[in-house]
Amino acid sequence: MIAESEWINRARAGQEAAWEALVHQHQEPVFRLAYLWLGDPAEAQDVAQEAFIRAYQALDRFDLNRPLRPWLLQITSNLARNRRRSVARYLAALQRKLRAEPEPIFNVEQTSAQQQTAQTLWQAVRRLATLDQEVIYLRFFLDLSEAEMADSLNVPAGTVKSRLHRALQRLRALITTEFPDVQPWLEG
Amino acid sequence: MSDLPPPSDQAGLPPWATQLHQLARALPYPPTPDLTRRTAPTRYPVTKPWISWAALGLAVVLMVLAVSPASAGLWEWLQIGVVRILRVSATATPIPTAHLTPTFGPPLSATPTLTPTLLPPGATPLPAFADWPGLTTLAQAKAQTPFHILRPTYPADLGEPDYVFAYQNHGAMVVLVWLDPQKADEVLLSFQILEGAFWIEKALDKDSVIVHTEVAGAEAVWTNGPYPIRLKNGDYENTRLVKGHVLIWAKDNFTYRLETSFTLTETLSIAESLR
Repeated sequence: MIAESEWINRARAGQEAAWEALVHQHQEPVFRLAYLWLGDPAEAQDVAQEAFIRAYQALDRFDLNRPLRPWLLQITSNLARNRRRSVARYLAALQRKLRAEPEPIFNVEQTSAQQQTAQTLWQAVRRLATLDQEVIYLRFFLDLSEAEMADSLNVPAGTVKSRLHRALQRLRALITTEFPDVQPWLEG
Repeated sequence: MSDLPPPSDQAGLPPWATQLHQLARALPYPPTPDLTRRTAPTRYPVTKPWISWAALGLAVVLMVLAVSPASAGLWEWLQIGVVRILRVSATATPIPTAHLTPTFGPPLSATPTLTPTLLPPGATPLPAFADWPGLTTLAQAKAQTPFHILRPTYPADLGEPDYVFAYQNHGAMVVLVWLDPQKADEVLLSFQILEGAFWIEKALDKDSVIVHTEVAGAEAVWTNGPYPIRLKNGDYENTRLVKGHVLIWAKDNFTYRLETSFTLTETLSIAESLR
């Protein structure tokens, strides 16, 4: 099995197949993180694409001693947050409201009760502050370890722990007051 | 989804974090698109750093020229306190001005009531505030906010606000919301006090009206909705659509916003009544 650092070196050398292999390996979490931030599949795809393009352009400077995924997710988060702030997005949202179009939330047919509650949970998380959302997405939605989160967020592991703690406190308070349907799923 | 093992370092997290993790992992996602061909290195050049800096510098210059309030170009903007108003215009359109001239509806009657003289398209529905943090009571907001919370004394029968939000991060924000007594799920009036480092941007289309006026001697701006606004403070961000009108003014280190369906004249009276 080829180590990730070797794939990166081959991609740096211009081997297109090596870069495609890396993209293929990481595109799902990158796309899903963009989707969690933006709530729209098309915008998430745009951001995910841009994240890989920027990663490739910065690949020469990437530290091979680090895992690639946290770094890719860091780029993705930054791009997605910038996209959320764009005025063009506000005007697009305005136009949708005026046309009484539904919010671009992905609907899955025949979702289970657990999946529906997971969507409600996501709505609750989206109500939190940006920093709280970030740590919850990385840890609980995308399965990053605290070490990987520290790498992605570029903070010490202790900071990750304290941010998670505070974010969970605020999430629990919000669920208790405004999303009671989620509460039974968090007990027992 | 993940080809990495789930994190086992749950130490230090509350017991329900495990259930949270299971629930979060059950979220259904759209299918992941195949990005391998879309991000292949042969499809885009690697730019040299000095070219990127030159392009950035040019972009900054163009942006400064474009957003100068003295120029009538693609963007027009003006600023009141911490509120920046951007107007997107396809053609060069100067911002119209008027002074204390009611733009909508008849003037105040001798015995004002809570019934707006200008009927919506206006009233901002309560769900617009659903994602605001800091829902509290007026008493608690007074206790935790480091400044005096102004409240309108006009109309005389306005009463206590139905909702109060108080949020502190880099600076404090207080929002008082009065519901329409005739339509309980619609907002009649919303008064925002923003201290310090809060930042609001609103984007108006070319047909929006902007009226320059005054509140107690302070420069003020009145605009009509609907328009999207973004509120940002430190790590907190909120974007929502405002369908009503808004009066904005600033004094000392505070910015004030009155969102309402009333006429300009009535709203100015409300603003002048704040104590």
